[in-house]
Amino acid sequence: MSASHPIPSRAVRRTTAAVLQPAALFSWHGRFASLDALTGQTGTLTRPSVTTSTDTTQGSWTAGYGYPRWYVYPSWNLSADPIVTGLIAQNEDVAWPMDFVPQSLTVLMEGINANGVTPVTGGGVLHIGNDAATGNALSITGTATTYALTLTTGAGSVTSTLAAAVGNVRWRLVAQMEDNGTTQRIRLGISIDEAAFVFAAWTSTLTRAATFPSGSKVRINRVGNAGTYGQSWFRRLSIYPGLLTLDEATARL
Amino acid sequence: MSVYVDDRLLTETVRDVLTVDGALAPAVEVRTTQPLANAAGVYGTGVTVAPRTITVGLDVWPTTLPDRVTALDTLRRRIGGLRLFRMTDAPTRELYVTLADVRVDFYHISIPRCYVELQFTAVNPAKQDREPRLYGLSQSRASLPVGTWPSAPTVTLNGASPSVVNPIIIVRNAQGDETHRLTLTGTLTTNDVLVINCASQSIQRYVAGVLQTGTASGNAWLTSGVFPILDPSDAIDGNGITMGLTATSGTPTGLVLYKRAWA
Repeated sequence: MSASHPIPSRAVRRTTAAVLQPAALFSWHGRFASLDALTGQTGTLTRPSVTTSTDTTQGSWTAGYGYPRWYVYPSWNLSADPIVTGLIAQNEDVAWPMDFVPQSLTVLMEGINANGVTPVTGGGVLHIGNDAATGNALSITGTATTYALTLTTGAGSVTSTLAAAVGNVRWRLVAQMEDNGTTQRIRLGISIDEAAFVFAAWTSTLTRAATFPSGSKVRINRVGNAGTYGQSWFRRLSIYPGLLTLDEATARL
Repeated sequence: MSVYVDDRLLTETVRDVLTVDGALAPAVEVRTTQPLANAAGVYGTGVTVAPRTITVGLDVWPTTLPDRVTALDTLRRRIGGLRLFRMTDAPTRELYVTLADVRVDFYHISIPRCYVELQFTAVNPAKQDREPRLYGLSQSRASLPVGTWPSAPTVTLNGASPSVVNPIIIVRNAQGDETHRLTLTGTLTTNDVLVINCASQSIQRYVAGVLQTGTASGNAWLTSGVFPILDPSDAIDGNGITMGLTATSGTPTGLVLYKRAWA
């Protein structure tokens, strides 16, 4: 065996601390117990009250005014994680600033219906758009029996719908937006309680949105800053460039 | 057996992981002065501890010579910089690593297959739980299990009505003896929250969600004592350490949040 040249290391000295390098436009995981995304965006929780949550022993603990309600479920995937930590959001939402433009992308969300029954009709799960929920946007909302992914551009809106998780069950949602430079279309996929993942059909196309409105945010549990709360427990939210499968998205930070 | 880098199996990129050295052994030396991370993968000032070096040997088997360049480029993109590293035999524990060196050995210059040796450095040599542990705090003692390496928790104290005056955090070992006490001076009213980071040894104070600064900051509340750490030498087989709250008046409540750490 003959040794050849090593791949040279970076020759530039950093002046700031190194950070993780998730291959994502945006990535937030509840297990890091921080509102800040791994991709650097600072999260803002809005909940002007003191309330309770559940700890590792499944006992109750009190979350102070505006403090995130980290909530521990005894298991998400029994074969891998003995306990899982996420953020429960009922009458509260979390928003992060966003800097990316509309493009072919994949959104992966993992969560549980926090009200223990069904998705809240009209309740927001995810919103990528401005506070007023006007203009170009990508959003996921619930009804009692479905989740709906909606893309809004200047040319109108299209919606991809799938049967929802009903009851206090775990869901993985994958939202894809395909952008060919002229038009955009979307589709929603879901896996419930580790069951087989299914995609809905692609929607019809819309003339592409080139930008999101000024001041747009990535927000969970609400559409805009005045919408109906979706009431979910969130384990992760990641947005990747390109069209990824559930397995591909899950295997990235 | 394989290796995850940022939750992605290396065997997605290369044909096989042949060797992993240093991830499990040699065990990390546990020093009498316990190191405390002040951020993920970063130690506080004035503390020295030997980093962990992990060497991973890979079998890269592209079909053509140009494919080899592509494969090495892809590998480099996926492992460069600060990454999370874990092994399939301990999938719930991870550590922060930085790629220190890559060596490519060719069997023959015209044969695409090659052996790639990666050397990672973990500045914080301890592996940590992927999922944090959360325990509600009150005047009763909460039991806090630990790994085989000290953990620095984050403690949150809540205001209440009637107010909590001069809260104190007390940690006891498995025998019930007090090992750490942090005494604070101030009054926590209903919408107040203190966030005590025992790794960075700092205290943030929030009033109705607004971070207080200057003389109103949480750091100004520090009166005496030490920031608690959860040290396995205070436990019996990882159990027995407790944390409880007390105060001059009022009923203190809060949360302790940490990840168990493993040598």
